[in-house]
Amino acid sequence: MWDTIIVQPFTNLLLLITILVKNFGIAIILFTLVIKLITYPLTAKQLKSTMAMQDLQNDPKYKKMMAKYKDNREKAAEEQMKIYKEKGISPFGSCLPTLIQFPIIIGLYQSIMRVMASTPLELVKLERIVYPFLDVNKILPIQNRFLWMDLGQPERLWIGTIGIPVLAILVLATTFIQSKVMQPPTQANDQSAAMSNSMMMMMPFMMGWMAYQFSAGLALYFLASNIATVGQYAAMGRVDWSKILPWVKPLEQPKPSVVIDYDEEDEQEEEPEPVKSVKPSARASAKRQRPKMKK
Amino acid sequence: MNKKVLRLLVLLVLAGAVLTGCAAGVRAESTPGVTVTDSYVYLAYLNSLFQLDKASGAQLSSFPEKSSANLAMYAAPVVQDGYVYFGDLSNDFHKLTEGNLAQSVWTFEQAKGWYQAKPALDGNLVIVPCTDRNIYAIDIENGTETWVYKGDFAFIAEPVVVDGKIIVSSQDHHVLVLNGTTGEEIYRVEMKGAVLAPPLYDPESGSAYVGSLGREMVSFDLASGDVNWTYETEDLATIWATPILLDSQLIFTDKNGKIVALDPKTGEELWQNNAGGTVIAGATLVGDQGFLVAREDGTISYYSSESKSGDWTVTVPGNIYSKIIVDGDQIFVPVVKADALIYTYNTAGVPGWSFSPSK
Repeated sequence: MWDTIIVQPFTNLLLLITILVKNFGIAIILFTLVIKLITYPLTAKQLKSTMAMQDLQNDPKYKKMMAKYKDNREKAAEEQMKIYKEKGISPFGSCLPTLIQFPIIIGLYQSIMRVMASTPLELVKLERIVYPFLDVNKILPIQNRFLWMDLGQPERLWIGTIGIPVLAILVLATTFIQSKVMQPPTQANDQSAAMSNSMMMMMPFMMGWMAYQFSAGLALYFLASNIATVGQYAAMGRVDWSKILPWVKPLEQPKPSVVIDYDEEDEQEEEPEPVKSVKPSARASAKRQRPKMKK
Repeated sequence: MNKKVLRLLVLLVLAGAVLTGCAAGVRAESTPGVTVTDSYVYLAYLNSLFQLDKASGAQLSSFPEKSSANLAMYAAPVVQDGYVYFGDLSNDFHKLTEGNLAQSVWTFEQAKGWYQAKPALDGNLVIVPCTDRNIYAIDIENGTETWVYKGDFAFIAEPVVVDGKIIVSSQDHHVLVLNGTTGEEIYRVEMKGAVLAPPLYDPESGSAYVGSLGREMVSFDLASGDVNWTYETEDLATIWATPILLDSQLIFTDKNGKIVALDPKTGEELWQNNAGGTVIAGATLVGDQGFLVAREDGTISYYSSESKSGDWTVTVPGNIYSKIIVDGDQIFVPVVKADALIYTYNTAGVPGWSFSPSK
């Protein structure tokens, strides 16, 4: 089922691109870009939701509400949900596109692994999933050579007896750049900032280590994917180059795209009936006149 | 460090461990490599090369002494004068002592690719195909490189050594013939698809026979490199195994299970049969009376040269992808996806011992 729906079409698409460009390395890069292009609407939706959530969480009034109910999680959650509902924010808005993309990424990974069949047994399995319109006898096995690399082996650029893992270094660097320039603005004492910083430190090393261990074909995919992701975010104007290039002007911080009407006074007035607390008060209505950032 | 950060770090480490575990250990899926000598059976699979007693299947020794998850080996070794020669997926080629596999004589470490094929011996040289697109000729005394042939594709088939010539099947749709002394290419025979199995050489006719994924069986003269004939039909599927010669008939199987017998001189079709399922491992001679065909689903059928139909059939509980070996009255069947790595039978189809590594 998984193979038929995901891996087989991906594998055949990758083989088709390989036949067209006659180079497996370039085919991996193009294949990654094609998949990124197909999943662009999901990425854009995910980013939009993430931005709305970030804006909401950075809102001082929202924070005040969270602080107020810090000892009453149930109540805090209830209030949170009301705000989400009122502002049209889906709490799963950023998770769902990620969840949908996850099988695509796994399928992409598996199809690259399949095409790089290096043993007769792997070739038998590959031959089985190739669609009849692709002449399997002429295209298999795939030539794994790309630049100095053997895409079926972990990549090393040999200078004498020293093997330099160029791709692994590039993957490490691009993952770091990706994490850094796409890092959302957070406050120093923010919990999410701590998490984000930890991830920013861990991810490049983890990806670099995998690129060092995996076959070069997969490392090439990681690299292409990193660059494509930064490109996607840059196209959406969400890349802050100043975080790695000090001479570049910092990205203008977006003003909250949602305006919280939550007010302590309102809350106090409406304490007996918290359900009404999110109802816009006259004061809140006045606040709504503030300029709003386009969502 | 708060709980969320800790949880995230644990998740990242776990994800990394799982992903790298998949790639860092065994990086290819393959079948057991088996070599049978007068007294022993050598079996290379995953983390170890096992030396088994040929009569009982008892494990006598293994290499390395303590198996490592980072080491994998699938290539069948070649054994001569008390020494075992074989390569692994860590790009190392070893000469070991037959009496004690843990005792290494030398290790050749210059290759940049895996060793997946059984090597061949040519006098004082061991000829080693490698996935780094090279064929290495290594001096068996000191483990140094005598010559190297640089090709265009990973070499995964056992070379055939004939009178100072080395015949090598290549995935780049060619069969290469090299000078055994210098490694220089003498000529190449063009094929219509990748050649995954070694050719069969017939000393009587001086011809070599080889099939390819291009749905063809080709005969060529080894001395001149001229193609004698090519057999290809509309309904012939890909050919994954070496043909056999029995009773002046060239017999081979295609992937769809078709068994075809040709006149080796002319390539004219003599008869056809069908094994009834996918065949990757091909046919194996049983003395001069008949042959075995192993189907992927584990069904092995014996065909006598007279009846040309399955005289007896046994089924091993696994999948067969590599050629089965017949030595004397014993049949050795390497399998995957089974409880054991190898099953044995006698030539009447009666089961013998099987071997699975102790956990």
